[in-house]
Amino acid sequence: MQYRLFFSLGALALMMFSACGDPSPAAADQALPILGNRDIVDGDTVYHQIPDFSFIAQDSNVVNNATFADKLYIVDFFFTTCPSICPTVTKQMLRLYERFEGEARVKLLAHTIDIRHDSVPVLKRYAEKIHVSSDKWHFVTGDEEKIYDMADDYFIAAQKDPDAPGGFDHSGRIILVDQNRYVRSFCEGTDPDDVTRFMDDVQKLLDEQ
Amino acid sequence: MSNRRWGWGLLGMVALGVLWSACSYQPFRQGEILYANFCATCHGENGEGFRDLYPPLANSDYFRENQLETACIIHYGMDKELVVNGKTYQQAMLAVTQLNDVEICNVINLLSYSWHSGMKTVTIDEVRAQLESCSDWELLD
Ligand code: HEC
Repeated sequence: MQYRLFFSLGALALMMFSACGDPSPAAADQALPILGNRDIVDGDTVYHQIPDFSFIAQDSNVVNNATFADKLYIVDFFFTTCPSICPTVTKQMLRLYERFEGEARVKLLAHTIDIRHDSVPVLKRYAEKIHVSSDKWHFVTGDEEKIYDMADDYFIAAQKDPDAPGGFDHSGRIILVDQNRYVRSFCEGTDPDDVTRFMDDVQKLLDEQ
Repeated sequence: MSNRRWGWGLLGMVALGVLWSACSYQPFRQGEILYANFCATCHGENGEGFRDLYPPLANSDYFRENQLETACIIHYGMDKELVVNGKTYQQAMLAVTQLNDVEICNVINLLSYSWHSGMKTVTIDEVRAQLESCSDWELLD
């Protein structure tokens, strides 16, 4: 009798654990969902869409929505002097870069959240030092408020915080956006296993095209 | 009989355990923890560095030649062009302000002990004197 009780309690705990463990990733055979709030407007479902933006990248070139027309792009927020999570996240972004290096339909977009220090030349040097092509991986700066607004749109927390290491507090999330400006997947850039799962999502979206 | 055999087996295992921990014994435990928490994200778990962005600390000729100056680098940060093992680096390292002089001393000794064979360790008095001598460095944070 007691055994049975133990057993069912255990099963319950397991169920609860697995229910909380994962932010409901799409099952392997399902299409990736469109993430974010949705509204019904005149009977049609309207999904959360990435708004217009325009930033300056490491070659002093403009990077805006048109840069990613017909592309899938992978987004993160960082700053070059960040001592805490960014080096880890950048290393995972580099994994993504290398995995999709030969795939012209995938690009990467990294926003600095420290526009005072991370000028265009600083971003350029950073990109050069990790040996990545500026056609593929854009490191951008621009209007500070706009950058923080965009972080909201990508569901990434970013804010100034004098008490945080390096002066900024932000999450290491990496986001996947499709050619219709919909957010389709995300992962924690500090967790290599989660990034591996995310990589599969990118591939899946490519296969759908 | 079988009890005795168990006894010997147990003894053997304990002996192996002691041997193993003796071989992997590393006297700078605090340095090891601090390194993992405050340096490894950039310089790598094994001090290998990262591309041309973060210089290596393992077998770094720069470290070998500027062992004590490392105290100043940790305390104030550094942003200049520097050459490590023939490669040029330039990327700001901010001050790691969380570490006090004793902790800095332990980190330097961990680096010396783990990745620079034959290098002597530094004393807390040397580290304090060194920090005194670079008190005109600009604090990067
Ligand atoms: C945010 C990333 C980052 C962190 C964290 C960091 N460093 Fe550095 N470190 C750098 C960079 C970048 C340089 C090169 C500085 C320059 O170009 O002026 C550097 C240079 C050095 C150097 C001199 C060059 C060499 O390779 O020998 C030493 C020594 C050093 N760091 C030790 C440490 C120690 C010890 C810690 C932890 C207490 C630490 N660093 C934490 C990024 C970092």
